[in-house]
Amino acid sequence: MKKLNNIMNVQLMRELGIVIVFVVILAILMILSPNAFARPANLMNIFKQASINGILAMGMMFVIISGGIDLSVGSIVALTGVVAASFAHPGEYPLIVPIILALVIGLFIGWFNGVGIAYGNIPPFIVTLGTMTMIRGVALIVSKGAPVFGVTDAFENIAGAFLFDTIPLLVVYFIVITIVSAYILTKAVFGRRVYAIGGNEISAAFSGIKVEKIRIMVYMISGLFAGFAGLLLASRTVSGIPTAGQSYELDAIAAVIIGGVSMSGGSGRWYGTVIGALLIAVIGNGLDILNVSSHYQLVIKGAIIIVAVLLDVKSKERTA
Amino acid sequence: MVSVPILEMKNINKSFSSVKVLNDVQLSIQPGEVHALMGENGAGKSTLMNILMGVHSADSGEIYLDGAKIVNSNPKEAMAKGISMIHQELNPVLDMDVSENIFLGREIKKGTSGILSIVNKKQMRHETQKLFDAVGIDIQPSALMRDLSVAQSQLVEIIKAISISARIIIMDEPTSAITEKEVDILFEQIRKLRESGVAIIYISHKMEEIFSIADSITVLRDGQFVSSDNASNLNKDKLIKLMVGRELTEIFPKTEAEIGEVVMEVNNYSFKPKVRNVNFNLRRGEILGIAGLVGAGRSELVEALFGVHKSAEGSLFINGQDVKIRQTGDAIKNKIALITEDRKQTGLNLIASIEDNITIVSLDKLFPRGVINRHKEDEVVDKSIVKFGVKAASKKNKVQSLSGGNQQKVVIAKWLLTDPQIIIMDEPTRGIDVGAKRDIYLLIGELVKAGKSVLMISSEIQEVMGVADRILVMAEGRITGELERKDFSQEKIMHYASQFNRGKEDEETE
Amino acid sequence: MIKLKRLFNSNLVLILIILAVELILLEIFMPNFISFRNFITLCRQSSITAILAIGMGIVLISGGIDLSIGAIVAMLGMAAAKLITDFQIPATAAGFIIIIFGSLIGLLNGALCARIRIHPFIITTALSVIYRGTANVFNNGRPVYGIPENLLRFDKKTLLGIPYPLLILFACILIASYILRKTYLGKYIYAIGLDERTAEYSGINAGQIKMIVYSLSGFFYGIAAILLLSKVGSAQPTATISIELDLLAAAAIGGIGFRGGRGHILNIVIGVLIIEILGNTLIIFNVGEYYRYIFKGIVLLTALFMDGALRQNRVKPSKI
Repeated sequence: MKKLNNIMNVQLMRELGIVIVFVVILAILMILSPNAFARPANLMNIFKQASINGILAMGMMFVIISGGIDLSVGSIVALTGVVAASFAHPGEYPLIVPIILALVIGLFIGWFNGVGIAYGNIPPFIVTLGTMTMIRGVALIVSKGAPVFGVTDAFENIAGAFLFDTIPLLVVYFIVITIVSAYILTKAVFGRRVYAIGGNEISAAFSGIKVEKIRIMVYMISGLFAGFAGLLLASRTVSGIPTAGQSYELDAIAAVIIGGVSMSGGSGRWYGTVIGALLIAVIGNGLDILNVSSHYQLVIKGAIIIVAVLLDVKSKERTA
Repeated sequence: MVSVPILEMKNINKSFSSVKVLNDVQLSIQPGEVHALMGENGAGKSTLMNILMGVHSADSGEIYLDGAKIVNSNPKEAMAKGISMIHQELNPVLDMDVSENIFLGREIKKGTSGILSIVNKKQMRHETQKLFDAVGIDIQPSALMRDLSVAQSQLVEIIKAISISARIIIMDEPTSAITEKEVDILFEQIRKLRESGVAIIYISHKMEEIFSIADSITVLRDGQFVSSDNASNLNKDKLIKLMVGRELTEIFPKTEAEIGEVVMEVNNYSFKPKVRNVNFNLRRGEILGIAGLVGAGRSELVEALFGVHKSAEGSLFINGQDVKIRQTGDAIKNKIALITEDRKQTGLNLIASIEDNITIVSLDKLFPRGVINRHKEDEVVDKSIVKFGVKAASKKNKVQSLSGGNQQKVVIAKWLLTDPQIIIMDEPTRGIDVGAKRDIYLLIGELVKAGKSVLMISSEIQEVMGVADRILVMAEGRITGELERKDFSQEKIMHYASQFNRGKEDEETE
Repeated sequence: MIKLKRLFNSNLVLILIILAVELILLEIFMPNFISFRNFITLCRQSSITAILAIGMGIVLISGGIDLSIGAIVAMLGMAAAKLITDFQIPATAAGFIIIIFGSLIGLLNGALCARIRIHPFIITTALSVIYRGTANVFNNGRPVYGIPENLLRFDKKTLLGIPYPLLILFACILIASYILRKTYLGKYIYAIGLDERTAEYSGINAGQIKMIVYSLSGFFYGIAAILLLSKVGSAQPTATISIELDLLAAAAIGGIGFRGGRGHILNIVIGVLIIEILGNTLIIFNVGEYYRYIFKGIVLLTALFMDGALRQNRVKPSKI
C-alpha cells in the first residue's frame, strides 16, 4: 500500500520517465549503429565522457536544489586547469601542489559567489554571470592567452590512469563524488537544510536555519567540484587551456534539470542527476557516431534544455 | 424586493489540490443592495469572489448576470461586464501617479485607438480630480502612489473601482486600514452607489459595519453555503452562531492552569516604524493574547522578538536573564517557538514531506553529529503525528497535499518538537475548520497546564477573549491597552484597538 | 523634497555626473583626447551596443531578461550575409527582412517566456545555445565575407556631420521612449514589470504584453545586426559573445535594474556610453584584452551592488 502510494508520486513518475527516455535512446543508438555504439569500449568511453560533466553537475545540483544557479563553473574549470598545469611542469613542484591549488581556487571562487549572493542582494544568475566573465579573464591572463603545455606524467595520470587496469580513474572520481554528494544530500543535516532553503527560504529562516551560511557553503561545494573538474580536464588534455570549459555550465545545468531537479529549488534526487549526465553523454556520443556536426549538436542541446524545463514546469502546474 | 437578481452564482464547487474549498455554494445579489458576505477566515469567501472575477475557474457551477449565463476567464472579462473588485492585499503600482493607477488598464487615449495610441495624462488627471471632487477626497491626482499613506491608497483603490462604472463592486475588507472619518466617506459613497442601482458585495469582519451598511447577508462556513437573509432579520449573536456553527461557549474550552512567575520580560522593544516601545511580560502557565486590527504591528512585534528583524531594538529577559536575540537560531536556543500566521510563506516548506517539515528545527538536537538516522527520525515523527492528530496517508507525503487544519498541526508539531518554554502563536486558527480549531484550543490548554507560556495573536476578538488569561491590545505599533480576564469585553478591545494617533511621522515614512 | 526629486529624472542627473567626471578624468590623464570629433566617433562606435541596450532595457523594464541577445545578433548577421551573398538579395531588402526576422525571433522568445512560468534567464540562456548553434550552421562555423560596397559604406556615411549609425540610434531612442512613456503599451510594460499580478487584476494581459515586449526588442536586435554587418564588413558566427554582460551593466548604471518597472531608455544609453568610454580608456592605457573581462565583471557587479544597496527596501530577490 505504502509502496503503491510512492509509485503514484509525480516526482517518481518523472524520474521513471527519465529512465525510460534513457533506455529508449540507448536502444535507438544501438539499432542505428550496432557496431560502433554498442561496443563495450565505447560504453566505457561514454562513462568517461560523462565524468567531468557529471562532477560539475553534482555541484550544480546542490546549488539548484538550494534555489540558486552557478554559471561560473565553466570558467572555474578553465582557471583551475590553467593554474594546475602551470604548477605541473616537470621538476618544479610536487604533484600535490597543483591539486591543492585547483581545489582551493575553486573553493575560493565559490565562496566569493556565495557571499555576493547571500549578502549582496543580487540574483544568483547575475552574480555568477559576472564572476564567469571575470574568472575567464583571469584564466586568460594567467596563461597569457595560450595553452599551458609540458606537464609531468604523474599529472597526466591523475585522469589518465586506470584502476585495476580496467576502470578509468575519471570514472572512479565521478562515482566517488556521486557517493559523497548522495550521502550529504540524503544523510547529512546539511543536505536537509539545502532542500529547506530551496523549498521555502523564508520558512527556513523562521526555522532557525542560517540561510546565508548554507547558501555560501552550497556555492563553495559547486566551486570545489568545478575546481576538481578543471584539474581533471587539464590532466586529460595534458595542458591547461584558458578557453576550455566554455558553456560547460549549460551541460551541467541540463544534466541536473533532465534528472528531475526543479529549477525553482527544494526538490530533486541525486540519481536523477547521474542519469541526466549519462544521458547527455550518450546523446553527444551518439551524435558524434552518427556524424552530426557540432553546430547541430548545439541546437539539439538547447532544445533539450528547453524541453526539460518545460516538463519541469508542466509537472509542477499539475500538482499545484 | 423580489426582482430579477443582478447576479446569481449557483452550485459553485472548487478544490485546490484535492482539498475542497467550495462545496455547492450559492449567492444571489439584487440590484442596488449592499450584500455582506460573511464567514470566518477560510470559509471560502475570497475563493468565491476570485471565481466571480475570473481569477480562478470553478470546477463546476454557473454564474448568471441579469439572468444570462456568463463565464469569466480573467479579470478583464469580468470588468468588461461591470464587475470590479477592491482587493485588501493587492499592491498598487507604486511608481505610478494616482491618476495613472486609477486608469490602469483603460487609459484615456489621445487620437487613434489601438495599443500604440498616446496616453492623455492631462485628461486623466483632470478626470481623477473630478472623481475626487465629487467624493470630497483631498489627494493630488499627480501624487505618486508611494508617497500616499495606507489609508489614502485604499481610498484610491475604492475610487478606481467606482470609476469603472461597475454594476457590481466587490469590497474585500475595505476598512481594514482606514480611519473612522474615511470610513464615513466610504459609506457615504456606498450609499450613493446603492441609490444608483449598483450592487455591492461587502466582505468584512467588523460586525458594527455590517449591520450599519448591509441590506442582506450571506454566510459561508467551511466552504459551504449556510444561509442568506435580510440584515434586519439578524443580529450579532445570530450571525456569529451562523458563522461558527455552534454556541460560543462551546468552542472555547478554557483550561485553568496555574500562573506562575514571569518568564519573559520585554522592555522598550521597537522595530521602527511598525513597532514602537513595547513593554510587557509573560508568566509561566499564562496565555497572553494580543489583539488589534490588521496592520497594528502585532506580527512584526513577535517577529522582532523571535529575531527575524535584525534592526529591532530593545531588551529581553528570559527567566530573569538578559538575552540577545539577533537571529531566529538565538530564539530557538532560548526555547522560544514562533508559530507564524502564514503557513505557506513562513511556516512550512510546502514541497517537502511532512516528516522533513516536522524535524527541520530539531535536526541539531536530534542528530548532534550532523548525520541523520532515518530510524530515529521516523520514530520521532510517528510519535508527533499521533500526538497532534495529523491526518495523512503517509508521513512521506508532501505537506501541500494536506488540508489547512492538518498543515497547521504539522507546524505545531514541528515547533513543539523543540520542547519550547515560550510558544508564540500568530493567528493559530486562521483558515482552518472548526474541528481543527477546537483541537488547537485544547492543545494550548495542555501546554499551559504543562507549565509552558503562550503568547497568542488573534484578530478574532471572540477567540482571544475565549482563550486568553490576559489581553494586550495594539494599535499603530504601540500597546494601547491591557485587560485582565475579568475585564474582557469586545467594546473595550475595540476601543483600545482604534486608538489611533495618526501623526505626521506615519505620513513621512514609506 | 519629494517634489524636487520628481522634478528631475534623478537617475539621469546622477549618471550624467558620472559621465562628466569620467570625461574630466580622461581629459586630465589624456590631454587633447577629448574633442568633438572624438566624441562623435565614440558615440558612433557605441551606437550598436546602445541599440541592443534599448532592446534589453525594454525587456528589463517589463520584468524580464534576455540573455540570448548576442546569439540572436550573430544569427541575424549570418542570415543577412547569406541572403545577400548566396541569394543575391539587395542589401536594403535583406535589411528589412532581417529586421522582421529579428522581431519574429523576439516573438518566439516572448511566447516561450510568457508560456513557461519560470525565470526568463533560463529560457533565454537555452535559446541562446540554439541561436548560436544556428548561427554556426549557416556557414558551417565559418564567417561570411563579400558584403557589398553600399552596405559597407552605410556605416561611414554622415548627415550634417552626424554618422548614420548615430542617427539610427537617435531614432531608436525616440521610438522606444515614445512607446514607453506615452502609449498604453508603455504603461502596461511598466505595470507588468512592477507587479504582474496587480497588472493582471487591472485587466492587462501580461502574456500578450511580454510577447510584444520581446518582439519589440527583437526589432532592435535586427537593426543592430545590420549595422554590425555594415561596420565589420563580414558576418561572424562568434560575434557579440557575452555582450549581455555589457548591456546588463549599462542597465544597472542607468538605473533600470533587474526587478522591472522602472527606468528610462535614455539612461541605459548613457550607461552604454559610460562603459564604452571606460573600455576605450583601458585600450588607450594599453590594458590587455584579458583584463577587460575582469573589468567587465567588476563593473557589472559594482553597478548591481550599488543598485541593490540603494533599493534595499524592495523585495529581496530570494531566488534566481
